[in-house]
Amino acid sequence: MNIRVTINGQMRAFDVDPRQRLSEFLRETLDLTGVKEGCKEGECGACTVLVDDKAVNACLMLAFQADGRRIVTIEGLAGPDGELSPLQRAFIDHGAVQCGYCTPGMVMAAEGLLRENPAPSDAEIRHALAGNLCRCTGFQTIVAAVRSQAREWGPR
Amino acid sequence: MGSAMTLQAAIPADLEALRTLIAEASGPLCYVAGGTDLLVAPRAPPSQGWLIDISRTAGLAFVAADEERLAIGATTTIAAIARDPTIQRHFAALAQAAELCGSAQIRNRATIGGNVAGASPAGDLLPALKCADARFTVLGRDGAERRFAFDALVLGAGKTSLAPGDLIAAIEIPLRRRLLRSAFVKLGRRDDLTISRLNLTLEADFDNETGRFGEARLVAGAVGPTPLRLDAAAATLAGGALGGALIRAFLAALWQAIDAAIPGRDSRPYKRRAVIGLGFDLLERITGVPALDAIAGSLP
Repeated sequence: MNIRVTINGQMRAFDVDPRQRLSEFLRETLDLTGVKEGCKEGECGACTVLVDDKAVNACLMLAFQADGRRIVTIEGLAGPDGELSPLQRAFIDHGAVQCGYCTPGMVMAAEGLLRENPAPSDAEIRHALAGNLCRCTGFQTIVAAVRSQAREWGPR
Repeated sequence: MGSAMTLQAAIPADLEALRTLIAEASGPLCYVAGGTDLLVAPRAPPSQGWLIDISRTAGLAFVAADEERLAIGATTTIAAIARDPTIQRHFAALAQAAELCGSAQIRNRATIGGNVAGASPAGDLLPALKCADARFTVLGRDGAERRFAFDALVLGAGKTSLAPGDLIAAIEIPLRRRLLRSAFVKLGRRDDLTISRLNLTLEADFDNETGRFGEARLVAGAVGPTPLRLDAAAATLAGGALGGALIRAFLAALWQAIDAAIPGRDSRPYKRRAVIGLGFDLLERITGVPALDAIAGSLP
């Protein structure tokens, strides 16, 4: 099926297999390997991307369903010169990254939260990140990184 | 239109385009909206016929209320249901169940129609819909619309009376007999992204001035293939005054109902105890009165 989709700000056209998952399409066709396929069943959140500004599991969406939509992956958060976004920078500054496998999904889930609710409480941050599993660094530093980007806590 | 031997995909823009498509398509039809059930292994999309994305079909996602009914389009997302002010006002239990369903990512994609069609014994929205006597409009492959009551549509674990090519189009909740308050509480292995081990939906009239309940309706989820009405436990509330005796009678009835619902199940000793805590949560949520355990006295 022919689709047109805006990926990280660029509109492009593709012919996709109707059965292909969005996560596989992003990784294999577009080489956007920041999208991780951890569980392929919506448990781990490592494949989280934004679709029309909302955080979704790319493993649970078919690529053809992206037709006409705007997708942002972790690769699309940094500036054109590669400068990290404030949220990405906050993850580093708060020690919220260890092995890094969960990090892209964690950042994109937090990005989705902050676009919808720029001033979330700690409880809202934890609720919004509950679909993302981290196996090494722990969640305290991740919550602290996201909190630092919440409007009432500091500049975005 | 199309060969039955290959798989084709379509994204109908509106109901008219959808009706045209199903009238002309050959081979099996498979509808996908959120995809959060369809794409979970070992299930897989079909390999022939039509895969139809209804997630953006205009006319299938809406929330509307008049004096008689609350109507919800089948592709309304779980996230939209959780934050919809009309649903929060008329049927808070459904919004509360939606907020506790899956993760943020899943709620952003999953739909109420998919939750019903999946007919999971732990499906979070199902007990609330049963409690409210929800009715369903189903669009058949022949283009005709049929209406189902809850028990006529949801038959068992993963079992519905939907025929191949049938699509749940809308859910309707009668409002005239709607009780004033409703609440949903859920117990899982963790707070979020968790499959219900047990959940309760209560609809009741309760007057904070007098502290008395009026009519009450109660449904439990995840204690059988389909949601279970707990009429005896609801009857302990109806017409009663909130106090130690009423709370103890309610909790005892809950214990008995859960004990009787799952004979022989390994989870029985756990669930019949756990329902006591869930019962407290439910009463506190619906009455707005905190710390009811302090006035409950010694439990049965």
